[in-house]
Amino acid sequence: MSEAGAKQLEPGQQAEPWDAIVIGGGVGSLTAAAYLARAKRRILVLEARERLGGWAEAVTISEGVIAPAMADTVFALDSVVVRELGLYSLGLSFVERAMPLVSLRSNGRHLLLPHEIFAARSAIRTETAADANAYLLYRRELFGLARRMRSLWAPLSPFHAPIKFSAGDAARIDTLSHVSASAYLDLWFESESLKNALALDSCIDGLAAHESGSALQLAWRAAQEGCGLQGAVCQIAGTAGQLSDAVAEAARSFGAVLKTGMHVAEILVDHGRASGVRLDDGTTLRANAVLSGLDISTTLRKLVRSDALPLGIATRLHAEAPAVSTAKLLFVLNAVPPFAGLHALGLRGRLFVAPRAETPAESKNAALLGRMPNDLSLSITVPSVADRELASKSRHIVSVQVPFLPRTPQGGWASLRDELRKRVLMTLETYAPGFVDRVSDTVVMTPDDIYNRYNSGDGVASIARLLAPYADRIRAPLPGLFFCGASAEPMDSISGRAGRLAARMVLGRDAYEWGES
Amino acid sequence: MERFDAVVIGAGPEGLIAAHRLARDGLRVVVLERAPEPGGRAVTHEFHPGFRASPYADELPLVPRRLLASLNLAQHGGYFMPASASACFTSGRMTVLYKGETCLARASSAFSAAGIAGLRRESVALRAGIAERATIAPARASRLAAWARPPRRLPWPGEALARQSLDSVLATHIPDAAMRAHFAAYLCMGRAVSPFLPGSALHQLGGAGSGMPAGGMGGFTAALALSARAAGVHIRCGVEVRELRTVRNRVTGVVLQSGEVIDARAVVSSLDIKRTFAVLAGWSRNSDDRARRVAHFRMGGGRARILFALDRVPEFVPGLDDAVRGPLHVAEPLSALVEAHERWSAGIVGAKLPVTLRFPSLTDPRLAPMGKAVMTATLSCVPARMLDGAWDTEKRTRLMAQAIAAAAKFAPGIVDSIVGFRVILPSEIESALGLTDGDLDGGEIAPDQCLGFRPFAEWQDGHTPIRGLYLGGPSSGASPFLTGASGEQAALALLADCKTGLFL
Repeated sequence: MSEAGAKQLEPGQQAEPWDAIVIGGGVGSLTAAAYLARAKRRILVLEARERLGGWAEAVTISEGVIAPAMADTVFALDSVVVRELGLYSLGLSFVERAMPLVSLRSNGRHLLLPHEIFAARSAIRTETAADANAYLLYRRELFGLARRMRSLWAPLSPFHAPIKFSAGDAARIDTLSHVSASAYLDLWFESESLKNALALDSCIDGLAAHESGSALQLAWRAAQEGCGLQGAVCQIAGTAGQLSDAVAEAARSFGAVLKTGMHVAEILVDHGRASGVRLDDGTTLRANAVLSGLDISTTLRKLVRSDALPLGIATRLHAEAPAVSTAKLLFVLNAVPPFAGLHALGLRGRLFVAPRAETPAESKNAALLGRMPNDLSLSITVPSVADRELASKSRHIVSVQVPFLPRTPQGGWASLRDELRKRVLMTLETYAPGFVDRVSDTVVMTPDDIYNRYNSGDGVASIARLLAPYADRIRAPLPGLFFCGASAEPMDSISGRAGRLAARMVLGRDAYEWGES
Repeated sequence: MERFDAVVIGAGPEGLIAAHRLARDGLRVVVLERAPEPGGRAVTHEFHPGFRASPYADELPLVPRRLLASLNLAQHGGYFMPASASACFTSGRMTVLYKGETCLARASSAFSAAGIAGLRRESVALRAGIAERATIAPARASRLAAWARPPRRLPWPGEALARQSLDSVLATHIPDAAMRAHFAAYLCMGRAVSPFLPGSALHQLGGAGSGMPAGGMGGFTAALALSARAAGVHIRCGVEVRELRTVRNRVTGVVLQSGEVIDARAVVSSLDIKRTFAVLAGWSRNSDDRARRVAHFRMGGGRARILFALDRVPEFVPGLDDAVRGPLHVAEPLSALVEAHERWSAGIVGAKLPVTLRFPSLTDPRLAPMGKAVMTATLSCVPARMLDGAWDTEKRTRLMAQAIAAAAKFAPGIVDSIVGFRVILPSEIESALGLTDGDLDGGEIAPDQCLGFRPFAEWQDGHTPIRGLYLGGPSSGASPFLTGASGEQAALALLADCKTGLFL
């Protein structure tokens, strides 16, 4: 099958159309391809870059130092995908599961919140006793709701059961979709650092914690936390690149054709239905269905003719064009990062920095106005602590995500790149004195770099997306087109879930066997 | 000891309207007011010999037409004189917006005119819908029903706005940036708004004022009080309620500051939620879940007012036309509002506050001596709680300088004609009216505190967890967008409970 498929890529061949073409070679796309190929469909995956992996790829920074390019941790990996595609036997393993959450403070009294609920309670008890008990109730309330909300995330039963909530849950979800995360947390807790840590944990991307509706992100984070064997957040041995390699291997073994270096210029539309793609060299490839692993707004704005979309969608997409984006910085250190007062267990977690509680709000405002924010909030991991294979000798990798930056700042990112590096280093230096002296190598990826590299940015966060049932997120407003990437999730995450569901939808099997999702 | 069917706390517009509605249905009602005269926010004071103005606001939010008719206000001398235009200075450019669509179209570009007219029609329709919705006040659910399932939240018109930002709403309707700033200034007058925040589009509902009442706000109150008294309402001024008396979560009356007890089967509070529950009902912050929620209800006070007495009618810049009788805004572009809001929430007074000027004596000459004039300035984004200590003379002077600089844009040389002034800060609004943080809206306008979520999703239609206590003030229901609607709704809820007998 794959030979026949390969032949069809040659120009002039008029073979029968592919069953499905998948745009992008990220984890979501590869998962969809693997599932479709497993169902004996003829699948072609088109990746624009020379290697597969998308956001999950690993980069070699210098001799003996491998770092995760974008995804340093994996959120809520779909355990059904892991099991059904046999990813463990294809080389997937975890070095760190259920990573703790650390809120850094400049006075060195950091708050370390383990995944395990009673350990977390005792950690909180050192701050305020009242909050420790409130935390148990909070977890019970939110995790209970999150569990029931999972029918929005993926189908839970084999029947076409309509998604229905009890009156109480509907009221809770309704309330959460109007409350900001910080207002919601204010109701539960007193300790500022605990509130900041929880708010940053779920609102580091997407809606900021002060925006109404961001409380839903708390619920979705809870859903991710409670979704299976690897806890919510895990680090994969040899970076997330190993995950995409394993999924790619699975897809190949089922007979999918994976092609790199293929730029898709347009999604073809015939009679109001996606019918194939045109590459930028003019080659036309026909298919019965098209799946896109790119983010929704890039796919619909760049690849689909606007007159092929329903009335109003194009205008809305234009209005919702993301103004806020994320940057990524990688530092290679020649020693352990010197975070004051943080022991080894803390270094294995996800570290959050927000100089003040208002910092994310101010950053987001500045970003919306196209300005570089004054203070930065950061999300930091040190993948080389748990995974010594990544950096040889005593070197370490510090991976820093900077949220709430302007997508197109005044003056452009080219001139701000150095400024960004300096500010991040300055922020890190206050929490880890001596950090700067240990840095031997730096990689700065501004929002521009990220977009140019992956041809896809963050999904646009909106309450509508957080509340949409899975079918509405995966099915595009164009028949025959499906989304299978991270932006088809309620919150951006590399989980493979959207890929699996998109494949199911292409196959016409909307409902799914009983299983964890 | 007198016994009443219902006690209404506060003789502001909401309280008087609630009392009127109850008395009309035959209840014995008394309204208790702390100040020596009724009115609450709707009063007119002499702030300088011979010069009178309304200290807290020049206009009320729109009064639903149906209410105006049922109160028979015109007969008692209460009528409004809406302005026909407004003007705004944004980054050196002046725009004039007319109420009438023909004038609007003549004065501004066709696109902007159509967009503004469309936006206004939308708001008018939504407000009418909200006024309509506020007349629905079902009886309190019986205990059994409450146990079976939580009450369903009836939808409110305009809820879709809770998902949008003001900036996006304005950007889709109005292409001209200066016009957008003008319209935003008009919608957000006296409030601190961050226009990029999701849900800030709710401010679209807050625009239309009632127009200036004849004789200032006091004229409106006088008519309202006459109307209420005619319906049989007792109004007692100069008495302050100290606490609510409750027996097993059931209201039995109120205790006055003097120690006097007034028994009543029901109490309607037209105060804000914090004042009602944290002060009068004595819910302490951490006693239980509902007290905690009341404590976390966010207030959004950001209004300071300055009243000026002018010894002559100012000479305005050309081109203002009829707008001199309407609000005159000095506003920054929308993007600058974000910064003003940030400073406000941090407790800092910004250097360039949005200012709205009004010359009430041009509309109603009775407010100033012959040949002289009154000017009021409303400053937005003035924090109620300051980061750098209390207000002092220097800070007040700086605030006044901002207002005078704004006035000089419309009437150069106005500074020489000032003969008297009075500064009213948020804290002074709080101590005068009893509104927490001096917030006339009775709570920040945010998606989780508006319409169906005001004050909370489970406290709907004026009902509260205390039986016999109804919330009809600024913190409930339709309140910040309409005057009188939430007072009436609380009265209707009380009447509905009377009918079911639950409450007797």
